[in-house]
Amino acid sequence: MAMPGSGAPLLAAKLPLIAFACCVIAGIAVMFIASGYLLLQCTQVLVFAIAILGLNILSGYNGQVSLGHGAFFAIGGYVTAVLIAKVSVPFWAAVPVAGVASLVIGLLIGLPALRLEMLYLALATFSLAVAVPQLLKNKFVEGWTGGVNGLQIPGVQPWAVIGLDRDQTIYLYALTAAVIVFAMTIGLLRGRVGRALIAIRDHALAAETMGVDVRRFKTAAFGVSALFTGIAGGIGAVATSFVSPDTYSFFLSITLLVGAVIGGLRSVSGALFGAAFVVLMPNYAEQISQAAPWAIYGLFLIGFAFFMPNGLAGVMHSVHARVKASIRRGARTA
Amino acid sequence: MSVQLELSNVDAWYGKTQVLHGMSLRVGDGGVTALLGANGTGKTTTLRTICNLMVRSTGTISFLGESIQSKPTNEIVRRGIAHVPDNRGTFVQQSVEENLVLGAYSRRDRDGIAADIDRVYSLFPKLRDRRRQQAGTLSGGEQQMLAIGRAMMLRPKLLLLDEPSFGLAPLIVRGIFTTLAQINKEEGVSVLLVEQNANLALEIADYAYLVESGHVALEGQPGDLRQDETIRRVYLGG
Amino acid sequence: MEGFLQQLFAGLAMGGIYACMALALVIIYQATHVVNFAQGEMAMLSTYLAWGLIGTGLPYWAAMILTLVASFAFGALVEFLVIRRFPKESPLAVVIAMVGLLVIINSIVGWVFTYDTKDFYTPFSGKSPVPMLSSLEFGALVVTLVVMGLVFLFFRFTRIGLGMRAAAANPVSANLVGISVGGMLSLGWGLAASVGAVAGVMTAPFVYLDPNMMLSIIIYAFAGALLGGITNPWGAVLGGFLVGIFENLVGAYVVGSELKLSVALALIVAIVTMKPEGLFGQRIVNRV
Repeated sequence: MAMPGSGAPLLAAKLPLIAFACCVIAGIAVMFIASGYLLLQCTQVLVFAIAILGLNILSGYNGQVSLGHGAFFAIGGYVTAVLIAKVSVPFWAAVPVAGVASLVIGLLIGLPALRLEMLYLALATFSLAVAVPQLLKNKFVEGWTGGVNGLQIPGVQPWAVIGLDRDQTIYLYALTAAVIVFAMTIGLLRGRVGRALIAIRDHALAAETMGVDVRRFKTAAFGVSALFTGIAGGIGAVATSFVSPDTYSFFLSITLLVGAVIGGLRSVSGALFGAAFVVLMPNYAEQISQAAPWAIYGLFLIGFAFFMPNGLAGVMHSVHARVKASIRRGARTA
Repeated sequence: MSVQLELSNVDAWYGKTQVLHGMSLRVGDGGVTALLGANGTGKTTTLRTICNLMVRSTGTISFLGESIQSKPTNEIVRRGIAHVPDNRGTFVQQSVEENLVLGAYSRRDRDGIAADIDRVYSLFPKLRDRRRQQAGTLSGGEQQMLAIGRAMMLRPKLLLLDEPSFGLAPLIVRGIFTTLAQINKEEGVSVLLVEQNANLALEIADYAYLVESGHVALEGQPGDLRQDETIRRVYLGG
Repeated sequence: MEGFLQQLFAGLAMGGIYACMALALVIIYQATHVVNFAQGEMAMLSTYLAWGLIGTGLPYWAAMILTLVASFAFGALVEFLVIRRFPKESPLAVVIAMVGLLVIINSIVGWVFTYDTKDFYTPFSGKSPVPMLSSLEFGALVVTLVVMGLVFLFFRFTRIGLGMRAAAANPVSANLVGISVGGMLSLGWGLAASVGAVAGVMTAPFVYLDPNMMLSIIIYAFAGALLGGITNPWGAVLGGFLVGIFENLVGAYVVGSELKLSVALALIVAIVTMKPEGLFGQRIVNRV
């Protein structure tokens, strides 16, 4: 007969996996339960979750602050839009290509960014965020980007073959992308990469002397971060059916930052919490006033900067740790 | 000699590290008191604790009969304690004269300040030659002179000196110590002196403490301490 | 040739505004080692205050003085309530907090005053007393120069100015000569907020008053501060003027006025990657 407590430690260790599986199942269920505006909102939550995860990887796990991640979101969105509208690429192929474009630009930025002190990086990314709409409107790329008016993205072909309508198709696509991206990240962080990232974040010089190729990691982090946020931007563009310069204003970068900070800068699951907050909260806050969501964002930024550097997910993690510990304790006394 | 400064059972921490363990000492009014000891025993920390600089402390610290324990540094300074830190602490981007003017920041008597600047220049003529020069370009000895001069601008009742001889040539050090003795006698300024160079310190001190591991291990008049075996061997070189 | 000179002087006028903001940024940076990302929004808030005061019938210069005083108080308050509560070891936290402040100010102003652009009264109108500059440009240039001149005199020749410089350069030693370093920091923020307010009030007649008015201006100010050297107040002032002239000329003759901000961005990126200390500053090195 098996020992009475032997199943419990296994259960405790598998808790994150079970949680993840539950999320995926819930995600699929949503597709059938929700419809119309609600489904669109859920799609947006997934989009922002991927984007914020990208930001977390760079700023949280890698310590390279970015106040301008909206730029990658914009690249993803616009490249996707151009590919679909001007080159007739199907949406499910356009998004990954846009992601790769974003990745390349992320690598190109990441290389010189290596040498920048945190302050200078913050200044540069802040300036980038403010300049993005102007860059998108300018006359040199107007032919492709549609200038001030932006681009319409022609209808997305629903996956009727499995019985989904347009909204559900986009949602499923977003869900799949999210699952892949999150699983990839969790997997990477569990292993050597994760340990190296933490070593770099906490003390880059020491990490280097221990054989970690800091430059390669930091540049790669920029690239992966850009990839994720770019993909998110692409899916977001498809979901809203158009892109315009003012969608990608400075305040988008702030929204991403708020989502990252609220969920917890160094947290994978936090990206989901943060995304839910920035997508869903304005629905309620805007009933008070147009400006209310932003005032709330600002208060949260100041508050979280001061009080809880690990955000909401930090609370979840400590809950998880406590649950784990009590399961173990239960097992021992059994 | 009445007691001007008294530490009683003082503990001090840098963050979580405790450096002073039950430190107790007294500085007499108008006297020169030396703190001797090897590196890292808590001598500098003692001076910092008196000024509540960068340390957390418990215990009794009283100056002129009033507690100064954990008061803000700039308040302690305004009561008449001038601290010359071991890194001299000159305002390197400001000129020599600006440094002296800054020393008198807490004072309002313009004539007195002008007279005191002159007094500093007569104590340290080299500084007068360099009055407009940027303080960071001065030599080590001159920076030490400037640091002491700036401290004097406070018209302090007590001067805390941390390793004034550090990194300076013997001749320069001689000059500085002569001036210190002069300041003490002519102005009646008490001195609490931290020095690794025990010989030098014992020459001008009225009383000395040997500090080990954050508390006083031995104390007495210079004459008695010179006779002590341990001191002779370890600190006076036989 | 005349067109070129006009663009040059127009750039100089805007440069004065950028120089003012850059000066404010550097005063704060020198005092508290913080880049105040909310400086522009604070200036914008001050400008709305001025607008409101003028709207109640107060003469322009009286409104200006009151605004400066209120801005000073606000800046000192921000330092005392917010900045001082953050430990020095977490610069990232302060950056995030300042971005938060930016967002709060922007949203509250937008809520109270709406996002509609408003006209901002200026006494500098009508025929210009000098060639090459419009009345407005001339006014902006004179006012910003006078303000920056006064700040220079303050730092150079007053006791408190010396105390502030000392507190910024060496806080420990400043404490040791009896200076209340905390008080000096609040003063620095207050002064910077006032200087920023001047920049805001001078900007409003040019670009019309709306809550997002200063978002681009602060980018130019960053560029100027970085160009001159973020550790050098007068380098930053020079940098502000240079940026003003440069972006105006490049905008007029090379890339068109819609891309001027991108020029500033390119400048910022070039400076931080190649010569972060700018023309006159010192390299910020994180010692191991």
